[in-house]
Amino acid sequence: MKLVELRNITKTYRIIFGKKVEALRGITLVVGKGEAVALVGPNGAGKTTAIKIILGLLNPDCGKISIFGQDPNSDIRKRIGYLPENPTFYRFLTGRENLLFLTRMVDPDIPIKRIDEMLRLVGLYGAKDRPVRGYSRGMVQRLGIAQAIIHNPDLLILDEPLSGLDPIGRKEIRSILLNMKKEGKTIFFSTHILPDVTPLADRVIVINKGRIVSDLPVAKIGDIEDHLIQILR
Amino acid sequence: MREVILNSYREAIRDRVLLVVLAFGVAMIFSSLIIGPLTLGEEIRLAKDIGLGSILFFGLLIILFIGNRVLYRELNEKTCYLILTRPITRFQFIAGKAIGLFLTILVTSLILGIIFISYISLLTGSLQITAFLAVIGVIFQLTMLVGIVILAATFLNPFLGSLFTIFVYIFGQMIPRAILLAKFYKHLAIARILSIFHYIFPDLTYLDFRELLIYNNPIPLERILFGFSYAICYSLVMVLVAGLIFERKDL
Amino acid sequence: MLATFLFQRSIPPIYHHSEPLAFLPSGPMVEVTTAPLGPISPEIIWLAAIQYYGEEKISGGKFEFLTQVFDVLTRIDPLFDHAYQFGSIVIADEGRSPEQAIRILKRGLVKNPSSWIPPFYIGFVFYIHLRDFAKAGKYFELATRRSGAPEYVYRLAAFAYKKVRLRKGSILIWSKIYQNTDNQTLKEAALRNIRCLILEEYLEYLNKGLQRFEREKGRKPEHISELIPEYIDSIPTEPFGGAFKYDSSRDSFISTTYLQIEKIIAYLNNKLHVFKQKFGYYPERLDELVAKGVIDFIPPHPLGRIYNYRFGRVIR
Repeated sequence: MKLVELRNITKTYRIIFGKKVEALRGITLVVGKGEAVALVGPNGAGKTTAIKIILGLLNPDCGKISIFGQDPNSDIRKRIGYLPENPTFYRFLTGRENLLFLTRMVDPDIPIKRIDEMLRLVGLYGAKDRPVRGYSRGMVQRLGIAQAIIHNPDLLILDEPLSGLDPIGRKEIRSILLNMKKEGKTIFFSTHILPDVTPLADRVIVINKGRIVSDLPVAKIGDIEDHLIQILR
Repeated sequence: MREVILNSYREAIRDRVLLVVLAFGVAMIFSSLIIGPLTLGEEIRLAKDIGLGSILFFGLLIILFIGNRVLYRELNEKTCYLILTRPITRFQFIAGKAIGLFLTILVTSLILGIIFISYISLLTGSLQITAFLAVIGVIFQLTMLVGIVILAATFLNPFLGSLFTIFVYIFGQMIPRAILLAKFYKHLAIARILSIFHYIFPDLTYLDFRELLIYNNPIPLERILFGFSYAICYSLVMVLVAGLIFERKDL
Repeated sequence: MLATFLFQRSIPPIYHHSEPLAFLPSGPMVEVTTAPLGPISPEIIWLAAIQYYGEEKISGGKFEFLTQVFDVLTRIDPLFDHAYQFGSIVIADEGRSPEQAIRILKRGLVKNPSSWIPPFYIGFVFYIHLRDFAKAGKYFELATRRSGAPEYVYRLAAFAYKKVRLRKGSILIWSKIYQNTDNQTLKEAALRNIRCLILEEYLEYLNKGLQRFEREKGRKPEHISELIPEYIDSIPTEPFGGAFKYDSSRDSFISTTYLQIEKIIAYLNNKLHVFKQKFGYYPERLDELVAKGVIDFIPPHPLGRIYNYRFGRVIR
């Protein structure tokens, strides 16, 4: 079953004075149920644009998108967990209030216990009552992970999930994601940090200058760095 | 959507600007104590006009300072990414923001309104019931401006959005009188053009119950009800248009 | 524009180079331009009007913008009865333009159709200033037909139609204005006018007695006391604190207050002449005499009025 399907998506940003930047030049990609797919590419390749289009934050110029076989702007978003690149929260609310607010939009009757459980899981329980404006970059990233997985979604879309974390944090978060994968969740994540890819992903899609240049299972790649240098040359 | 409403209300009500604006509003209401003696026997009238005016102007200031930012912050600081990828439509999001701002305006206007009504009741020695209607009229006027500012925020930055809102406010106040003026001077073509603008800009005079407050001239019930329904419809249309623009927006 | 106007108002008068009220948009356009100020606009104009009036009064100005500022005020707030009342009295009295007062009031007649104030004050201006009793009667009667008109309006209508002596009606009007206003300036104006009218009344009474004495005795009196008690009951108190004197050269009674006014006017005209010789032109306003050091201060008008200064001369 296809959970995410993009067909021939193009997206051009218009900057002032008529200048155009082609972010995506007709990409087609499919993510099946239970897969863990990494979207890899250099900075400015179009990773974030592709993810935003999947989520309906951006409207594509042309092409077709379906998620769970439906339009992204529909109720299926209950089943998606999303972590944006450098997530931001309401600075005047505490970590716990932020998480409660975001979760209630998916599940109005969420028990407080579940919130605290999740804060403990991502290692923020001690800071739960501090306003987010006092959080470090890594703590914000942990809160971002918490809000993406708290409603137990079937599909996780994560934009640079491990950035901003210290080595211990990376390990902790990676193990949380690996657990989710074991539970049969589908994970689609972007990264430009190559060592993050292999432990988590089943399949690697390489994107460059708005085009998909390679789409291979991890098993067939061998050393990912060599692979990337080879195709991007 | 409830969460969005509560959250934008909470954000606005905790804003320090609000306290400053409220303090100035209260100061302005009581300013008639100082300038009153200069008015040659028109202290009560001055207190009523200044009080009503301060509720309107400080409401407008809150709309300009806070209203323009409620949406801009979400877009600029990208907190909206986490919200709009949850099961909430963009239209609900905009409506939630508008209602949250409306609640903020309602609460602050009621605070100023109660202070104002108690003040003039003390001055006159009797409860000024007509002032309630006048204050409610001002709240409805501000409701229309909430619609305007939310619309502006969907496609302008806070600075331009404030300019846009002030512009709409000023023209909305001027157009009804300008039409009368044009008709008086028999410039019928100008009057006709102005009448078209009259449909677009909010006509705040429908909710001006100053005549009742100052001169005790009764206002027909139809006019009051028409004013209220006009304000509600106008604000709804503004939020609807804002929603339509926001639906198409790339975030 | 209004901001400029308000800013200009806040500058102390000595720095005025041009007249601040000249910035006030004139005519019907002001209704449109002040609209964004909402309920505050009439209050601002009202305060500006009062301040302008006060400044002109102190500096002995010519009240050139008095009509304009009240015109603007009653356009912005056509129901503002007090503005019609105060405006028409000061425009007709101190501004010396009764026709302008009537013009503003006539608009109020239409725009404020339920109030008796505009027609009453049109009648007032016709009666007191223009002495057109037929028209005064017509407007007083119109005022009686509007709700809330007090009883004395009916009496005045009757007075005007019967051409009852002007002074009696005028005293009635002024005393009613005095009783019914909280406006201190208006109270003072009413009091001043009542005193003037009483002064005239007393002079008339004294001179009538004098004439009867001369007719019957065939000679002039040597002293006032000769007239008491046959021809006059007693010498009344002069309302402005002066005294009544018999002036044999004019063969009539005069008030020392009036004498003093004549003296002051002669003095001022003399100084104006000095000013002209020194600077080559007549001052724009009387207070330039003080500003340029020709005199130390302008003596206060004994009746509390403003000197009628026009074209280089003070006239009575």
